Amino acid sequence: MREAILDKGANMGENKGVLFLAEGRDGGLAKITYELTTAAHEIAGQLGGEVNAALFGTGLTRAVAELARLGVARVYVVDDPLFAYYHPEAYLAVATRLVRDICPSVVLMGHTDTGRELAPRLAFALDTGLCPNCVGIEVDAASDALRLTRPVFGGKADGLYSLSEDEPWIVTIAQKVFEPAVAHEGQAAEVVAFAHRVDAGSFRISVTERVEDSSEGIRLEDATVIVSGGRGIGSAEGFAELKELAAALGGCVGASRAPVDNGWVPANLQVGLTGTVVSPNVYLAVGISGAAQHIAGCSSSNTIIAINRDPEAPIFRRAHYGAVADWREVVPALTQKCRAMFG
Amino acid sequence: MLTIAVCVKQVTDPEAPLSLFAIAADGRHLVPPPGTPPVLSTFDENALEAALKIKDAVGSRVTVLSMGNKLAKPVLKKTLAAGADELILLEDEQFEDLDSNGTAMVLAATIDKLGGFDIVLCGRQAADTDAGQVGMGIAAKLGIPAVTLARKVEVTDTSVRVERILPYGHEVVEAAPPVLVTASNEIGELRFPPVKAVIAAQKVQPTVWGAADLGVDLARSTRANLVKFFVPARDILCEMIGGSPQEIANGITEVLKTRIV
Ligand SMILES: Cc1cc2nc3c(=O)[nH]c(=O)nc-3n(C[C@H](O)[C@H](O)[C@H](O)COP(=O)(O)OP(=O)(O)OC[C@H]3O[C@@H](n4cnc5c(N)ncnc54)[C@H](O)[C@@H]3O)c2cc1C
Repeated sequence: MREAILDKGANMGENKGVLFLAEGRDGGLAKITYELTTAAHEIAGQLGGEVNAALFGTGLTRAVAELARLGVARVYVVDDPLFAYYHPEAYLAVATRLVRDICPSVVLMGHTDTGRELAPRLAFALDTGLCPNCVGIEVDAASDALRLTRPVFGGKADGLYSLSEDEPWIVTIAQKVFEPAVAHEGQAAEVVAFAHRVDAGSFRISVTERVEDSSEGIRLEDATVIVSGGRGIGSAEGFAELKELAAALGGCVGASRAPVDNGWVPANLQVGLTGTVVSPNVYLAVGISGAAQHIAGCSSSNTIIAINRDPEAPIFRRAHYGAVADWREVVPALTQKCRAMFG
Repeated sequence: MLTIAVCVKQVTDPEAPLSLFAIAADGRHLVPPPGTPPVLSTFDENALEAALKIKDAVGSRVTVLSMGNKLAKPVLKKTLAAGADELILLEDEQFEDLDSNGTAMVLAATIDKLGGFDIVLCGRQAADTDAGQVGMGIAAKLGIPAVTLARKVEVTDTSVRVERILPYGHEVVEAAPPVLVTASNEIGELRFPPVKAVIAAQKVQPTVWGAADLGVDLARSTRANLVKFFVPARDILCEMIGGSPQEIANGITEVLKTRIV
């Protein structure tokens, strides 16, 4: 790796393409990184300019090697224990500096916990426009301006947006919308260790404690089968029944917001706009009405099966299979059947 | 005394089904069915609740700020009934359809005009636009630190202590005031006001300021332009599985069989 020697003046007026902020996970790359790569190439293909990636964290050797095989020109790396966890001031300082140095036309991030926190901060620091949670990005051929689509009103409608002229345009992309890019051997990007000069002593926000919930089994976003319950489940005991069904299917339990607000399940089980975005093979929605804010988190599931006693429930307009029934009668029979079938 | 500002947005009820709404001819507005009253954006209610919890614990003066055009005063007065001390409405034709940047400019100018606050609270994102930007914008414009996604906010002798939600846990974050905090629903629902307080609140005349009172120039404030809203075609043909509970269980198992490997 070489140290970055960057001269902002030399870049002025040039079209510097797209910079995306990659995310690592468990030593490798998070799924969203592959989706970002695809989105970045689509935009750069129309706007011109190169695709560069940035990755902040620590212990990144394997992640950087993988990122370098995704067909990007350069990978800017900050590999430092200071970046082990997302800290808004650390990430903002280095992101601002990097963007000012390499002057991309577009900065892409995933609409993830990191992206939705950092992107607005970066947009305000640079005083440019941001479109969050985009599900569609087009480049207007005549003006080279971006036309961005994103869900609004909790997913009930979409809004089409353009950003003011000042670059860079900052965009966070919704998870599981773009096809993940595939790494190729021999496509080695140039890896640049970015000298960040961030001083933790200057931070105004200090993180004094970090508590991880004892996580049982698979994470929601990785699950291939999710049995999700809503207000209709009625109690924590009801969720224990869903857990048995999930176990029989080798999956895990999710929830709409109502059970979280009622304290029947922990908050990290919430699927939706303000919870986890999931895309399992099978999403079984039990006693969930199908509010737009919930569907926003599960609509990319391969198969959605709904059990609801109300035939008018909106979930039946979003599910592939549905049954109008009281879950208390169906779930025990279903669990038994699945134990026999898949156990 | 500790001072807290809570920024509250009035929105169309996010829980009402879309089939009852129409998109206006200009494509830029959602028209609710007649008689649907606007509500306080849900996460902003959580932000107010966070402020009132601090008020209960250590005492503080809570000021509610709401920006818009043609605001529904009875709806916003709910904040006073719940326990806020003061309501300031920022109303101006220019404030209609401002983007996140413009909104943050108006709210930051108001906070400046009022001499600043120890804590500024906002919801994590508005229930209509879901953009999640205004809080961080206000902090950036005021030059104060911002902590997002709070599930608990406490005040100690020297700092504001926030429990911040992480995907699989939480972190404890501290910052010396002035600080901006955005609230998530885990903070708890806004308390139900006593009837007496509701009646008293309706009699209060809130302060109303416009762009000129604040001295904000919004001419070049727009960073994100809405072109239009539309309803994408998304309905899926749902195949219904009928019969007795056992037959339904059998039918669902048949579907699962082909999908679980
Ligand atoms: C800004 C914002 C963000 C939000 N973010 C999220 C989010 O991330 N995730 C989320 O889920 N929600 C979110 N919500 C809340 C969302 O709008 C809905 O309120 C919520 O999803 C409703 O949950 P539900 O379907 O479980 O409850 P309800 O809408 O009350 O539906 C319960 C369903 O259970 C059925 N039922 C009842 N009893 C039975 C029975 N015995 N057998 C079978 N069916 C039964 C009923 O027919 C009904 O359809 C958000 C809201 C806002 C405003």
